Amino acid sequence: MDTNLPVTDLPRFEAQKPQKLAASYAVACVSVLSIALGFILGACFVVSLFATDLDLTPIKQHGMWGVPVLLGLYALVWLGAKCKAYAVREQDVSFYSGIVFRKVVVQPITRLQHIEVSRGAIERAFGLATLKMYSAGGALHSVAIPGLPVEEAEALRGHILDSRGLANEQ
Amino acid sequence: MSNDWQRLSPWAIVFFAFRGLKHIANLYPAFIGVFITAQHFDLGWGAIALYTFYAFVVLVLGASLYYLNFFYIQQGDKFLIRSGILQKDRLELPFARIQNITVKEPFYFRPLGLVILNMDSAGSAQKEVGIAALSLAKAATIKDTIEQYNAARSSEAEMSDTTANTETDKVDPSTKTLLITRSNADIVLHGITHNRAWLLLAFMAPFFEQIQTLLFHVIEAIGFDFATWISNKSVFVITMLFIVSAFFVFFVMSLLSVLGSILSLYDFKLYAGKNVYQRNSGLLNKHEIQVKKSRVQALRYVQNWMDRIVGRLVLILEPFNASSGQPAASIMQKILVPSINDTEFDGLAKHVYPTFALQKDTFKPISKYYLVRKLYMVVLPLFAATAAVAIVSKQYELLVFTPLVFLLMPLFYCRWRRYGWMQCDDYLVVRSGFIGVEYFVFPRYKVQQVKVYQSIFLKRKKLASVQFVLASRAAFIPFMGEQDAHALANNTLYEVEVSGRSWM
Repeated sequence: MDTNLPVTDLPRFEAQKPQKLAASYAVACVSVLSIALGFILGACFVVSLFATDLDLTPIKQHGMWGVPVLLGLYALVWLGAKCKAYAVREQDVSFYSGIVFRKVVVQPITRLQHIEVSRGAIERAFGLATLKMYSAGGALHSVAIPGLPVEEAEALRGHILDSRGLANEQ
Repeated sequence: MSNDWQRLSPWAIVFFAFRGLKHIANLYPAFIGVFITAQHFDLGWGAIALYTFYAFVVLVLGASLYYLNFFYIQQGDKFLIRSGILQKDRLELPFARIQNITVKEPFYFRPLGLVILNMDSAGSAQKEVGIAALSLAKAATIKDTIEQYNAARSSEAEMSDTTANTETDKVDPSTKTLLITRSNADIVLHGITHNRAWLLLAFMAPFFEQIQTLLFHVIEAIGFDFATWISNKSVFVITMLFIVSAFFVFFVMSLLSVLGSILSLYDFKLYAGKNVYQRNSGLLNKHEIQVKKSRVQALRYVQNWMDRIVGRLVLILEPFNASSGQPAASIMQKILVPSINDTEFDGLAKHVYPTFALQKDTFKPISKYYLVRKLYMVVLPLFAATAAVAIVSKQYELLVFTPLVFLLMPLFYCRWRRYGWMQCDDYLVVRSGFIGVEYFVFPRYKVQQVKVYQSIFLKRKKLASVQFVLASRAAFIPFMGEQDAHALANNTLYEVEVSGRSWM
């Protein structure tokens, strides 16, 4: 590799074209939110069955506010999922996130300690997978790219393992 | 070394008992609960003494059992250790994986001439192995074996790399040059400027009520009627009394801190070997810390407000910490040089990073937009919230005080003024602080990950924040120019990815 590249000709991370996650990822996120809300509402319902002396008038009076709050929550989760993206270069992987507060994490492949592809129950239902990358920067700074179609996640893992081999041969 | 599994010296029981005690002491929040319950049941001192004795017996029994089940063996280029009473652990520790070797000489071993050899391994195992109650000579032999093995290995690796500096390879790894010593005056100064004794007050907080009643009992016992005495005094006398007692507390705390500083830093020496830095210090417990040069991730220049007054600073060499999840656990692994001045810093920094020089006047500041952002993200919302509370609760007189939140702005200004960064050869320096100042110096090729933050507001202003994650900690530069941020990120990534230099 040419190590005498002029500074102005360096590959620029900001010039990358971020790739979108699978279209079903936003649906998966919304499903997770719905299931969580379902559990909370179910728990409230069970409690109200047993605690018959609860005064429900405040809920009846102000309950209408719940609708816009819920809609806002769904919009936030949907947008949050849609704003995530990733990009792969020969030597690093970038992950984009954030609706208003945008963030790019660039993870050089040579600094990876280990990688794994994980699939939760809901991810499996949607045919999705999460690629997790761990560096020596610690657990706080591990990068997880969610919402990848399984084949893509495996391919990405393969690419990382291959180029890691290249990096070690240098 | 023989081929049989070896037992430790029976004195190791003392070590295991102390270690057990340390584990128990770590549960101090539980003790507060126990203490309060005990008060509830109104146990007498006799009962408490009895229970303490039982606890002591259990501790010694446990330590003895642990001793009986602890075996180690050196097999070729690795250590095998078997331990555990109920849950048996079998640990394999290859020499190549050993990152730090520390020889500790706790006060209870010193008359016996025994030491503890701690071996700290890298990677996901996150294990630290201690072999206790070895004779000093044996510990030294083991240490030399491991060091020589690793030195031979690294020079082999360097040879195959062909970039090796073959001149220095021939230097005996045991020869060490003394880099710096610290006098008692320096150590006392460090104790005063870095007062950690205040933490003690925080731990004592749950007992304040008990201490207060105890104090009153003592005063009563002397036959002094404090309540009537104070009710006859003027506000001035009471204020003076308060100030004097505050000074007294401050004095006692400083004294404690100085004592702690002397205990841990007495006879401070920093050596440089071929591949390692070694720090020796300690009054009762002699402590030796070794860190491989290649493991040093960053250099820190830390100067708090008291240091600034006396013109001193602390230099910290930060190694990769295997347990980065819990920074508190790895404090002892750092090499800290207390109470040095700028010239001494420059000398040491030159040794650690030969092509680096700290030029304090060449730092680039961050954007003033930092202050604007703090105004509308922190100060104004706080102002609105406090005003809203005052209005809703109909306590309108409180509205007079709400503008006080704007006093936060001068504080944010102090912080803004401290932020800055500079590049020097392959090194990046990030300056931060509030009243004190910290310079965080790292070679760019050691970076693990780069994060760029740019909200849509920042994008409009052509600004961005950058974070460089290292294996020891992360450096953050907020609100720098977008072009600078991108250039810095790209240069760093290029160096990490193309240089092929290892971070460890």
